[in-house]
Amino acid sequence: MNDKDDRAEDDRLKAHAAWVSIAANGVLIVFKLVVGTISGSIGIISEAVHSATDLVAAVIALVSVRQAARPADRRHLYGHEKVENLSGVIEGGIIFAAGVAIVVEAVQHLISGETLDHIPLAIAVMLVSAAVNIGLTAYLTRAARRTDSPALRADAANHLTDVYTSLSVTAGLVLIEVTGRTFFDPVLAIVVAVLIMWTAWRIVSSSTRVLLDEALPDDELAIVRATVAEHRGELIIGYHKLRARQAGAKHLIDLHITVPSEMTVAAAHQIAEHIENDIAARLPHTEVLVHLEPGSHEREDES
Amino acid sequence: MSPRKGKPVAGDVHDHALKARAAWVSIASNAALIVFKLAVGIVSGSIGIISEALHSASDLIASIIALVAVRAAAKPADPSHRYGHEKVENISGVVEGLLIIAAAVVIVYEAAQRIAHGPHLEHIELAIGVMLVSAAINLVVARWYLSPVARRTDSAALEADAAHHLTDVYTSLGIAGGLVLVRVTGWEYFDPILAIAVALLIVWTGWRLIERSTRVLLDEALPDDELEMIGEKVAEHRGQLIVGYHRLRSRRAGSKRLIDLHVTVPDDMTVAQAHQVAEHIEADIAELLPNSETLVHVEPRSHDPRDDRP
Repeated sequence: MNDKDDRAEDDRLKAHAAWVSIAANGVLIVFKLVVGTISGSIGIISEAVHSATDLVAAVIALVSVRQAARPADRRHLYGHEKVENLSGVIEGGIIFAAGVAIVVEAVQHLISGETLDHIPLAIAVMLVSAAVNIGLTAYLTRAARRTDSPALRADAANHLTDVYTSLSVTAGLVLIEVTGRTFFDPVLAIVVAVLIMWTAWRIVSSSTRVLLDEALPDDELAIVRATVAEHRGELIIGYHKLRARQAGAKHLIDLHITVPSEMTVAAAHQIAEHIENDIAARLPHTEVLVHLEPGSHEREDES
Repeated sequence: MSPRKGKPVAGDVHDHALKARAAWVSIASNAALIVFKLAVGIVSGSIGIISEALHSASDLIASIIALVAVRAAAKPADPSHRYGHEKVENISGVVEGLLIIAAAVVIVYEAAQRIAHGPHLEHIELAIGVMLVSAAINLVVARWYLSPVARRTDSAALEADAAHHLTDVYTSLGIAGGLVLVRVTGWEYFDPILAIAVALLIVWTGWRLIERSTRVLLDEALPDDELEMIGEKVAEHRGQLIVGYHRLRSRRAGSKRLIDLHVTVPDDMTVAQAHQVAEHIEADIAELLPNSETLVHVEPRSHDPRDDRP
């Protein structure tokens, strides 16, 4: 089936994107460690630790897209796609922890009034890191949109927060070079940390909503309604109890359809299949289950 | 977890009230423990006992989360949550698991500091007394109240809260045991060592809670014995009215079970007849498994089930 081929290709693309993210973080770790060790700058070495947590997050994204790609099995008949939403929660947690760590460090710097060394070198490292992360974010965002993958979307958000941190650290360091005042660095870091925690919260809440079986977004529901409504009048009397939820990139929909009581099951099932296929054609990665109900044209239907 | 016989629908509203009351009892017992520990701690001047009050405060937060969860889960389905709100209970299970693990980390950290700086204990008899009272209260609340209510209402949030109270029993007894050993042998390192041992034990409890709640969040199927019961019940209709069934899927949300399946009937059966059969099957399953919602997809016999997507 066409949808199945699409799905297989999406799964390949997702795994590929997750690998690219892992590779980019691996390269950044090595780069920061080498520069940090040669220059002896603790700040740059601690940046390598930051990239290491990103690497962990990228590995989680890879594991989850691979798990989500597994076909439904006996114990998971609705598929494994929700693993991606679970990884979104974990990734959000990691981003939040990074935000907290930045605040703690910044406050310590503020208190100790520590002097900074290797400022030009640190600026260069931050700019390289920002550039890599900008490229990676753009790539991951595109892949996430094409495949509708929450795990990749969360990973993209994680790398975008890295861009913010790198740029703000750079700005802080430049301000220190220019003004000679060291407090710019920690103050900017705290501002960015707040931004990061906000991103983390957004990822956790959007993933949790899917885990709680929240309905599809209104625009997608409108597509489903319009599709079903097209069949009204000619063959079906109406529909109600339309329920829809998500699991990773998949949409799971069920609804009750009212048809004339005297219609045979064979005829009614054909209509049901038609509706199921129509919805699946307009909304990719969709599974629909129709429950048939007998009715007469007088009965009012609600959705 | 075994299915409860009886009137499933009538039990619903009653269950919600029962769950909310259990969550309130948990809050009350934790609040009482905080007051008790604070009072003893301040009167005796023992920092250790005052910090135990802090531990009870984290338990209080956990029991408030359980209350919020059972109340949110009780809300009827609305336009943005057509499958109901029951999964909130499973989320709260994950949060309780994380809180238990966090408590364990704090205990290990504190114990490590005591080992590093050399333990210095005072008010040992009093601390033993406080720990035993705390263990007794938690044990009674967990074993004789929360657990039975959790089992009766099939509530994931209360089950998690009961598990949390039991970990408090273990930690209190572990600390009391350590203090008794210190008293008997005079070797003060028994206190932090037992604390670490107990912490490792409760990490396991926390992890199991997270794992179990996560399975529900990932739409894992019902246990095999329940699936078998459903299968047998549906099969009873075979022959007389239905040809067969397939694609039986099931999942949980809090204490609710969501089931759907395809049922095959003769091609020329009318939709009215087929719907009656479907309703009958749905009612049979609801009687078998309380708090369950079933959706039947009727199919004509001529339809090849292999055509069903995916």
